[in-house]
Amino acid sequence: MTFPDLATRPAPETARAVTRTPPARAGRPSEVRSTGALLLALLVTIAGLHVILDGVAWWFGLAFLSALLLGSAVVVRRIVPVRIDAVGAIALRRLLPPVVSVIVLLLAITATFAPSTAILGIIPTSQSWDTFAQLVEAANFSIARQSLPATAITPIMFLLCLGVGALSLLGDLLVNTLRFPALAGIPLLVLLAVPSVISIDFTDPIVFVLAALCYLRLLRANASRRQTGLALALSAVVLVGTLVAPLLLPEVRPAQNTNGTGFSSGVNPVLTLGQNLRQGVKHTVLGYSSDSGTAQYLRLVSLQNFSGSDWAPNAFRQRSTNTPAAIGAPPGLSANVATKEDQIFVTVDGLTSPWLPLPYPTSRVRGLDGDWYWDSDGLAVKSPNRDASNESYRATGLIIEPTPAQLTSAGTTVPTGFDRFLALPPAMPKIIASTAAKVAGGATSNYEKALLLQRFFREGDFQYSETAPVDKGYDGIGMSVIAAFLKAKEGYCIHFASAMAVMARSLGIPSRVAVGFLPGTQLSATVNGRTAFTVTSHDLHAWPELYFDGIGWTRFEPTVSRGDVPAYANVASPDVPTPFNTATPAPSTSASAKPSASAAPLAPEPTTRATAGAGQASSISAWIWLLVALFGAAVLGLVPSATRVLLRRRRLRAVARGEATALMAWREVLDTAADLGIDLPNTATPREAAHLLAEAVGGAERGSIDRLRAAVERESYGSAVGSPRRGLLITSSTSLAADARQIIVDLRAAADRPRRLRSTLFPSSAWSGMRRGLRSDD
Amino acid sequence: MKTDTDNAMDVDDFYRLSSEIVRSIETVIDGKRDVVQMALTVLLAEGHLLIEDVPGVGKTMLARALAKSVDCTVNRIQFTPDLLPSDITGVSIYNQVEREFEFKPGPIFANIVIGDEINRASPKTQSALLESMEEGQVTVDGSTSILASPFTVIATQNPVEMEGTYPLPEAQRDRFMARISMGYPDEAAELAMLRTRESSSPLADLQPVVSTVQLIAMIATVRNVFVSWAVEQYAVSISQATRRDRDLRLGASPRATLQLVRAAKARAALDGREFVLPDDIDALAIPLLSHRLIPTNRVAGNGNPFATGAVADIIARIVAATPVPLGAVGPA
Repeated sequence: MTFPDLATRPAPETARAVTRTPPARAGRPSEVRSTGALLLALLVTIAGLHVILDGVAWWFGLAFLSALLLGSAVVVRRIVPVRIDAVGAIALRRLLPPVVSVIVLLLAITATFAPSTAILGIIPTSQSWDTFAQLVEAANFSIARQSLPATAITPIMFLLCLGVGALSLLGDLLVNTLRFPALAGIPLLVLLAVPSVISIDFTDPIVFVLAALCYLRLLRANASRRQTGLALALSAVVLVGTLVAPLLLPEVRPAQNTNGTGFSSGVNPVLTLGQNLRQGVKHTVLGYSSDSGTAQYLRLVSLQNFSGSDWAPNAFRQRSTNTPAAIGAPPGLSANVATKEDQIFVTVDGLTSPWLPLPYPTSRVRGLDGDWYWDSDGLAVKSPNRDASNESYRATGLIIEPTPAQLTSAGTTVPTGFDRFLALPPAMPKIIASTAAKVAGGATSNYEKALLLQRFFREGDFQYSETAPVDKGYDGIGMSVIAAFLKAKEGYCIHFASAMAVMARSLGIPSRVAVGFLPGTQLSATVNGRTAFTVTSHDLHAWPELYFDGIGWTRFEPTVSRGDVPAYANVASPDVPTPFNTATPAPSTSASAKPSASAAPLAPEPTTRATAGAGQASSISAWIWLLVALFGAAVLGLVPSATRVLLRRRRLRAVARGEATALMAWREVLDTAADLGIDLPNTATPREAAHLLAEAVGGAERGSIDRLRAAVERESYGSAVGSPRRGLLITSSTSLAADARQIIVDLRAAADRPRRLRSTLFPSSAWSGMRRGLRSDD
Repeated sequence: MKTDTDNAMDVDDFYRLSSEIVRSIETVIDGKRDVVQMALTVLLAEGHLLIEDVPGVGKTMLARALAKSVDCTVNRIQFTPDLLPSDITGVSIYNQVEREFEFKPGPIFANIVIGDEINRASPKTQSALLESMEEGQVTVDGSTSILASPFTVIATQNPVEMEGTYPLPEAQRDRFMARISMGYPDEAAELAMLRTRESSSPLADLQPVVSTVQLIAMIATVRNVFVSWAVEQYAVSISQATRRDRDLRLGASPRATLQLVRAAKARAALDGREFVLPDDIDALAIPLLSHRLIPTNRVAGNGNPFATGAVADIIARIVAATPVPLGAVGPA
């Protein structure tokens, strides 16, 4: 039995003002300690990327960036004074470090990736943004193309720096600004999840364990802020999420991905060819059918300029008159060479390439969408603004069938203007020229030399391998690569084609390297009565084209076990004795017509390292799915929170306008308390509830609570008639709303962080509150 | 007993006077503010008060102090086993001069009647007192006499386990608005008492602070206190809950509900409010209900039919479990 205190009446509750003081904020040393723990955790989780990235250099870069950002935040916190007397100082101290870190991130990235476009090398300009955009594009492209583990090329490093930088900032924000160290698990988890999203096989358990230990250490460094429950819940969610997400995410089927195979306009096609070949997944690139039923090599482009380190296509000269409706005549082809017109129908499925796959030579292409132009130099058809994906067209061309006699009669003549196809860099490894001379130096005609070179590769002790050059570090097409290839005798089409082309040039034969596709596999079904073929990403190929006076550019096939040798090249030179002269000399016409189906299975299976990326080749799509799923989950998760916020706003606004009574404000306060886990049962009277609220807000001013409580009591239990007198605190509607707001602020301030977060994200009163609010009970 | 609502006084005056009464009584009873205020509540709510405690803790002192603080007629009846009903109500005596019977009013004819150790009287005598308590009138030999107004009985009794007592039956206990227990004074209060009683009885120095007219006005004020539907609902819910409770053999009577609300009005007025809060009901539930409820044998335990503590616990539990209506809604 408690009774109102009559004799000493005013404010019996004032005595409890000093009951609770908020716990002292952790001081600066804790900030440094927690930042150190966060940095350690970040470094470990960054190291977890080693399963998808090659080498170690990237780690040092990212570690430095992370340390730089966290360090800058710490320094700023040290510099800004901690005088508590001004509210602005607190806000400044809270806001400044993240802002400074963001600026540091921006400057660091500019200085690293776009110094030439920046003022003083660090301050980004609009050009820098363009550079960044290009880097992002190139990175996306590279991620889609590279096999795993990927090389951390500059664009990828750019993306990594952005990501790790952002996650470092987020971690610092959570740990030191918002003081939710438990939530710092989120950025760590995002980093850890990157490999496992790509494939569940790609999770390094050791890194996981180390990261977990670092996370625990981080929590320990912030031991004063007890968030054990939150940390455990987060860990559970993260663990389950990382393990389950890859299983739940829709598997990305590269066949559905139009970016499956391709060459960026900005990237040398040869660079990506090997990577495409090494991709574990074979996906359809295009299908074609031909009138003659002849299997065709489909060329994309010819690389004519050999710089010593690289083969590159000519700069494309776009002329508006060069529409593919009428393509120029093939250079050097004389009328006495037997030709056969053929028409093929091509449907491109997934190929990112500005060049159109066409047989060489093609005289006319119909059915194309958009702008396509042919290059007067190499007769390649290219679009300045689109790729070949989803194009469907009809190409009319010639099948050139020179006889060995015609080729032999071309002798060693090099017509004017074709000298440039003989250009070789001055400092070339001797092995190239010497090998060429040894193999074919004795031949009298270019044709014989070519045959001998082709035989040297195809019938010597060369091995086809897509991975050996990568493993042994000579992947590419430059001179040094060719030299290494000639010694190692292992490589794939690029090495064979490039080596033969360079050796041909050293022997005086004009040469270039064509990049395109093998004829593919013949389908059992026909399309409109025409023989149909399907070409996959594994049919990507490179081959040398040699020029013979009077005949023009002719294809040779030096790559061992790949492709088919044209009839004119499939003869032994009767005139020149050679150690390689062991093949059947009889011309085989059937060989040329045979699609590469028989040859393709001979290609060695990609090694396990390459297959590891199987099914995940297009990690970009997986990322998009993950982002969509995360976004969806976030939106769903925010529904109660948003409902709650809206309800609060609606109620308090109604109270402030005088449309609703104090009871509405009271309900809002009670709901907020319920959200914060303060138990105010419906069996409590307003006074009891106010008492509990006052206890909950601790030392804060309880005038607001008393005023609101009094208004509620008067409304609920007072007489509707009669003027209010002593004991009734009359308050205006606006001050009621203000009081309610003040109580809510005090309640939230007094609650610990996990409760506050939970009340924001998962307000328990959201649904019941919404129901009550909709009933508009006042 | 009936007071005119027009007599109702200002809340401020009411508050001032009630404070003076409390202060006055407190010069006699140290450190028992709750008990004092409860007694005043019952007085202002026109109820009767039963003070139950062991001998010597100041039951009678409280009753007399309360009576003396108000300027009204006070009679004290010491109940003994041989006390007769007519000793309370009064007797008709034959007047030889007038040659007719003449009614000599007993001690019951006073504004405040202190019934000391009421449970020492025989049930017959107790009944005589309790009937007049309920009806506000006395009928002797066919003639009815109206009792004074205001009329309040403050009875004291020793716990039933004491020797030579006749416990009040349920029906009679129900007539008392509230039962309170004095309890022992704390150490400081007891020391202070020793010093003040050294020279003289402080009771003798007590002067009335409220006149009868003022008291009537105060009672009228209490009657004017507003009781909302929500609070009435709350009081009824609590009473209903006592009738349903498995631990109680006898629940609260409708009269109990009525008196609960009436006492709550007095308490609200004493708090300076003109309307009743659920908190008033909460605070009064135990003193108003505990002497009316009878626990089951299981709860009461070995032969103690009252088990005051156990009943108080049950009431506290019921109050804590009854939802508090909120909002100015009325019956449909």
